[in-house]
Amino acid sequence: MSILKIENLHVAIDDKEILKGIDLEIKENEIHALMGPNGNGKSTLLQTIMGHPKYIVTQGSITFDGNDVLKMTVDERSKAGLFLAMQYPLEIPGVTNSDFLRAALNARSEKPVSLFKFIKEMEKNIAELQMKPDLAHRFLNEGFSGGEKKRNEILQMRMLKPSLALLDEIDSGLDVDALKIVANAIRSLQEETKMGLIVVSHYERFYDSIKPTHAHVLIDGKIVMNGGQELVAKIDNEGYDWLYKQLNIKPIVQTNIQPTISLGSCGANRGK
Amino acid sequence: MFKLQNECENIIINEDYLELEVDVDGHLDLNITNKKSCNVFVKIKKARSIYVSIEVMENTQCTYLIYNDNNAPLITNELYKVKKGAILNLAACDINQQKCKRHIKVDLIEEFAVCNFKSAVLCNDEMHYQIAINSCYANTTGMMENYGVVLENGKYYMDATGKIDKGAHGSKSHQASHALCFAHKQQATILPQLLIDENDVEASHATTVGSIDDNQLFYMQSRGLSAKEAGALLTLGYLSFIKDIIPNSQLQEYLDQEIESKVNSIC
Repeated sequence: MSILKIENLHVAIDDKEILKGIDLEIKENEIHALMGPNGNGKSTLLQTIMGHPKYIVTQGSITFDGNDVLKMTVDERSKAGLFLAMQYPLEIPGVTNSDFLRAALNARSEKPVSLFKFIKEMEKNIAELQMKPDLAHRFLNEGFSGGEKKRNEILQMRMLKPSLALLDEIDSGLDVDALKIVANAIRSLQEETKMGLIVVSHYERFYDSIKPTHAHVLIDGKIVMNGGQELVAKIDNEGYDWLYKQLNIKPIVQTNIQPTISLGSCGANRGK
Repeated sequence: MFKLQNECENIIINEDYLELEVDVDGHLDLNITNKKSCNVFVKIKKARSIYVSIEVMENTQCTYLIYNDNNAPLITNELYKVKKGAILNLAACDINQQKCKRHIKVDLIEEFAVCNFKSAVLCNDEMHYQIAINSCYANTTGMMENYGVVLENGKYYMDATGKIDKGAHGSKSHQASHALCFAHKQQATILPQLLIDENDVEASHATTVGSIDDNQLFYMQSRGLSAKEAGALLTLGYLSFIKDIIPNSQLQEYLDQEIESKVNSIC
């Protein structure tokens, strides 16, 4: 049975502590909803589990099936069965979607995946996610709409079949119909493989389709409340104010300082 | 298949594309006269010094892909002349692990002459390019796109010049050069130059030199690719456009395999 265990996890970016002691355990077949206001550490937690080098673990541990995740490289984490569907999937010009996925599948198997089997599987999943058939041959996420990028993340998840998937606002940028398609695709894979899920979303509509077994609220780098579907519904109806009052927490004020942008200059020698 | 000979001239082409295998030092002189369009694949196998002189005749279209598969350091001096209404599609592919110094000059000598130049370079040694497209006459067009991937032992130098002479009004000169480095210690120098002596013209240049984006690398690794595998895939993505220059599926497949095996062995 796959178990992800997070104990007393502290994480910092540029010497600023973002996560301040997270404890969480996710077992096979469990679906955990991770909620919380923006800028409180949800994405940081998921990126840290996957091993983004920007996030520095200062204290605590993460194990997966008893193995120390923090000692693994990013690709080793993926091969161990972890998968992160990103909020902002990267564009990789020049690398086609199908070449990328095939390379990812080959990287985790001893023998190269048969081309016929790969194409069949990819076409099946593309059809299920109602994606444009030419998407396989386009450069990875380049020129994709927001919705297409999110579907593409789920396509990758379905092809790679992880033991535990981390979904970071996979519903943002999806219209109502696309949301249903993506939720069904996640749900059907979950039922088939019994994978564990950590799902970050702000919307009950999405959680209604995914049907979480657990819910957690993360505020200021700590999990401040645990519950089930009823907690999701309460937050959807009432927001977070009641929690701030009940737990006597001050909300984090988001500062939105625009960085200085250099427009650069032309290197041409204009002469006189 | 034609073998390179000293001072070969006026070679007649009757095939879908012509393949020239260069295995000696010497001159490659080509004036293709009996075709409206032609494709030529030049494979440099064994040579140290090559002189290329090519004329693209009036109202014809010629595509040349010069593939450096040389097992020794190479120096080339290449001169291309493009006549009235003619189009020269010229591509250079250097993915071997040898020193290379290429001096390429394209003269657009009559009205409405066009040159589209592209290069793909996998650099693991000193590679020095001096490329100039000169608009010598009115209403000519010179376009240049250069892509270089610089590996651990690589030193990439690209001197790219677009020149528009006095009187060459209505001409266009555009260029974009990009170098992708795998680590900070590698050297990539791009020198984009526009030398414009006429007013009524269009000209632009764009240059990027940088290392692999950390976020791109993380994204690829998060799907199970090692840093090495991700680097090889990115390199292929950067360079493999060159295989499509000549529209022949057999040649494209050959180049695809060649590039992939070279990249995988070097990266």
